[in-house]
Amino acid sequence: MTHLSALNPQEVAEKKRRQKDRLRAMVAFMVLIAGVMYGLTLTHF
Amino acid sequence: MSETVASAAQAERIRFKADRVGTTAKDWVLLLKPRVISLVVFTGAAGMIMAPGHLNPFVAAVSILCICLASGAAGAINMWYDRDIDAVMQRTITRPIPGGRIPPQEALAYGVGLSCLSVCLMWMATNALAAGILAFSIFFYSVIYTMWLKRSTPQNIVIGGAAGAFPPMIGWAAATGHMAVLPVVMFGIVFFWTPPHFWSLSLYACKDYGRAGIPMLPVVKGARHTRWNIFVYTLVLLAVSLIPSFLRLSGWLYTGTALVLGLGFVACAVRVLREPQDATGMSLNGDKAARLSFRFSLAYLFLLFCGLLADHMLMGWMI
Repeated sequence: MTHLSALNPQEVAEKKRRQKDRLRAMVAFMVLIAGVMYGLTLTHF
Repeated sequence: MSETVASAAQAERIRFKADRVGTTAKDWVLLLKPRVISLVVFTGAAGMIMAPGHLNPFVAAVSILCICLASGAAGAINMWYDRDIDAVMQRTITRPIPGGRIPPQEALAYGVGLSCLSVCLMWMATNALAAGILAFSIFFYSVIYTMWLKRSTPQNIVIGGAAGAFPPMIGWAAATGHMAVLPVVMFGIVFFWTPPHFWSLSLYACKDYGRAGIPMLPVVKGARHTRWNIFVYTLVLLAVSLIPSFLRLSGWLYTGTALVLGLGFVACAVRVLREPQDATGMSLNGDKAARLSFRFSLAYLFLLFCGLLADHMLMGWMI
């Protein structure tokens, strides 16, 4: 992986945007699974 | 050949960018084969809706999510195993693993993790039967089809097609906890639909498969033999699609839909058979008929299941 200092400003911005997107997707997925688990608890018990 | 060079150059550009600024969230989604998921989820939901009784809407949504995750997981494991052949096929060279954007080990861990999650969630949400069929379908696609059949026999997609045919049975099992004739017939429809669907694609991707050493039917037996097989399978599919009518499991609306669509698919197969071709059966006009047959097959399955659902709702409404 290329170090931040080796990138031009445009690439740094793109790298940060991609990191943020991946993090957002991961958090959304975890929230979805947590919601499913909570909902199943309510449904079954 | 020039197209292959173009794809390789495109893959290299994406890889270079990913090396510098990292992968996108979209790469992880692409690893799940979203287009396959859409079809699998649709047939799974159809099985669930057709099932008798009432399923809690939340549990139904979770079941659909599980089918979606399981299909994606099997797709990720497939891409992990097939990374060597994906790298030499024009159609697949830009995928995340051959494109160098996602390391193979991470893709495997992702696929196995999602497989476990989907099966466990399905079991918790519904029952052991639905979870069991779901687990078996992942195993069938990842191991039986991808690791064994795909590289060893020209009948790979005939037998391997079973993997994509399980979702209606999973949906039904999730809703009822047992099995019945109708979901098995729905399995049969998707099972017999897969060969003409995939062979149409393999006719115009024949060189790609040959280069990768995959023993697809046109590569091993030739294009002419494949054209005849497509025709025969569309006839079998037409017969299988009418089983619900003969067993009185559906009404006139479905029968009419199945007949019209089935005859349309047979007409496409006849065009594939009569397409201008050389002595070996290779198309002389850019595989126009095979491309049409492939596109029609996608619409066929979607509309046939829509017809089945509409018929089911109409019968429920009339009663």
